[in-house]
Amino acid sequence: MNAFTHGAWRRIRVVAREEYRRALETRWLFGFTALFAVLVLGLSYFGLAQGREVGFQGFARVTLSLMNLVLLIVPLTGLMLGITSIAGSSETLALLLAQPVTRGEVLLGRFLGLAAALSAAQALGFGGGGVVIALNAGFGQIPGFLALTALSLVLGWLTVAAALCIASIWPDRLQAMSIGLLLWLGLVVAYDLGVLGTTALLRGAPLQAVLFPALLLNPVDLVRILVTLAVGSGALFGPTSAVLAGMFGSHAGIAVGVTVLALETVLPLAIATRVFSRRDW
Amino acid sequence: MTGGAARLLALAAAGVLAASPAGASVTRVPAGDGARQAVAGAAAGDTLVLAAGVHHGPLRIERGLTLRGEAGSVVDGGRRGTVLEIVAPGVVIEDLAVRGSGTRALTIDSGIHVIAAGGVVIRRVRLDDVLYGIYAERATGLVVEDCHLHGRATPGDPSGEGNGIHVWYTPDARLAGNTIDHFQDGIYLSFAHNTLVAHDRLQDNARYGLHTMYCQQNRLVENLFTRNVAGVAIMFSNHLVVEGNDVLHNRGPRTYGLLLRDCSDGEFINNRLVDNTVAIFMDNSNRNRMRGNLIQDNGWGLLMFSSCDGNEFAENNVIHNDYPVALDMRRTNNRFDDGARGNYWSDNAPYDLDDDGVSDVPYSPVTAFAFLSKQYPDLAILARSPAVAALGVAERVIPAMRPSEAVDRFPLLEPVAVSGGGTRRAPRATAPAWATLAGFGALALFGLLGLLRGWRAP
Repeated sequence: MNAFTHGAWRRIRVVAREEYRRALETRWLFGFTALFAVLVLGLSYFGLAQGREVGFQGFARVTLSLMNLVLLIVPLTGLMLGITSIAGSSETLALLLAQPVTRGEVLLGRFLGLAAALSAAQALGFGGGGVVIALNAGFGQIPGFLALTALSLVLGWLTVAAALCIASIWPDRLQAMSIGLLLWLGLVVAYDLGVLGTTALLRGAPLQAVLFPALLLNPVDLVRILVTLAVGSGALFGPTSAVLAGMFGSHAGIAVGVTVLALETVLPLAIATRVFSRRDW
Repeated sequence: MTGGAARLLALAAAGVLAASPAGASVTRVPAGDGARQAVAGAAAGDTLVLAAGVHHGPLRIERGLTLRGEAGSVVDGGRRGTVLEIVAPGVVIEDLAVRGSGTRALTIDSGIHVIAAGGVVIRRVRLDDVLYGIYAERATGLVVEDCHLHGRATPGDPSGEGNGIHVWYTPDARLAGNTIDHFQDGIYLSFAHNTLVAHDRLQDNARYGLHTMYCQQNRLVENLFTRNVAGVAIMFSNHLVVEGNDVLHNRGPRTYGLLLRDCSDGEFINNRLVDNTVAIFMDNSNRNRMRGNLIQDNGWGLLMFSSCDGNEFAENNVIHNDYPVALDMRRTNNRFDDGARGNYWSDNAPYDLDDDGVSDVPYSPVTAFAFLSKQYPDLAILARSPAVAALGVAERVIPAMRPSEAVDRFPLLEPVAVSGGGTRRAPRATAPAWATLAGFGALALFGLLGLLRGWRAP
């Protein structure tokens, strides 16, 4: 590693550490951490207690309930965290940009800081939930829960990257937040409703050719499908599950899934860096 | 079946030796090649006791005698053809182990093959390494009790051949207390009217636990069907009574708990259908009554084609299924209440102002998504999407969105107390996994420390 990249990395770390500290001060993340920990622990404990009373399955269902929680609030938190980090904070930003750091370093540093903060908050919740499940359910249900933990972290990074991209393009805070909320609504609800409606309209046209790529492109759907397969509830997807299991049961399929998620993180980040570097802050 | 009990029986047989009437004899056959000759030489009413050790088959029983094994006695077919062939009425096979049939389905290579012989009794027999377990044709009044049948099929492999107990053209059979695994179908009944299937365990079979074709008035009572492709598949069979069965963990892409095709006028009472992909599937099946069943943790609770009519579904507990009911018809003559009481639905939010235990508001168990994904199965890939949950909320608020007129007019506020079941609850591992515990504990601690450090830092 030469002196230049070493210096760049050092500067990125300084920005990241500062951003991490700043993120933890915001009420957004504090609220998220508390809510997330309480919900994960509560769902793990009471979901299991209920499962035990009735005496069947239960555990896979706990993970799936947690997944629904993750799909709703992790993208929202990631988006809001990323947007408030840049949009509408032009004074501090201007001060920071006056320092001997490049804009790319600032953006990358902020991404890493925010991603770390969001990950730490989730680690607390998932760690606690994992302890509860491991105590009560033994090892059998852990792989599904582990997959949920990992994919939830990735979903957090991915939405932070998207948020930085949005905030770089629309520096006005209100505007950026509106667009962030729209994106959230789109990813979580509107996208699937659109797929549902389109399918009903097409009336049995060859569906899989359209449906599969469409769902792979939405990270929220991709995470949902991967976690559902990982907890062994793939049968929920009906006859399609055989196709999916064939796809994601193989290393190639998992590689495709991971690549899509990685691209959906890196691409917005690259766009954000470009826009952020050219804007007159 | 214990060796001790077998020894007692052998002693009892020796006792009978002295007291047996003239003409009926009890003969002890030592292990080896003597069994074939002994069977050929015995007269109707005689008892042959096979001594411990391996007896070489195949044996063909042409007179109504009793074949009994001492503890540790085995009849081995040498993996060629059928091991034990019974062609005379009144034969009794007891306390025996049978193994090593051939491998050809065409020649019906089985452990025990009963041909045109009524009143045959097979009791406490253990069958291993066989293509078919017990194959009975024209065997009126067949009794198979307390047997263990273990076949060669791999669970979930559709190319598996050979059924555990295969009954063809045989009325009044009684199959009770058997454990049957690793066959194509655990029990296959064809033109077997008035059969009783009770207290059997049918598990890990390549296709169905129980499969009936063209059978009338069969009774299935308190059996366990688990980890088969379909627990119970009933086809072209009417007037059934299915009571107190456990149908559990039949999971997979095309897997059913109870599959009914052209099956009418049946009674399905107090069964427990838990953790199946589809708990109850119905096609072209009419006027069945389903009551007191527990339908829990399944993907689909009740999946019904529009070819079904006049079925009544009341006082069941429908709990935590992803789709409680899926129909592909807008109008339906199937009833989800009996005119006074409906079912308990866990995802209903009922209210009951007059406090009579029945909700004041009807409940529609068919969600728009269940309806759509029934028509376009590929859509099931959206299962558990937040969008689908949102759609559910919208349906509740805007009743016009309801896709089907199927309605429970009297949904219950509390689950129905279901009698029976509960005795064979699946055991579960409760031992904590310490390594994962430590891992997740570390993760939580890591998160906590990270957060604290961030907050504390200047």
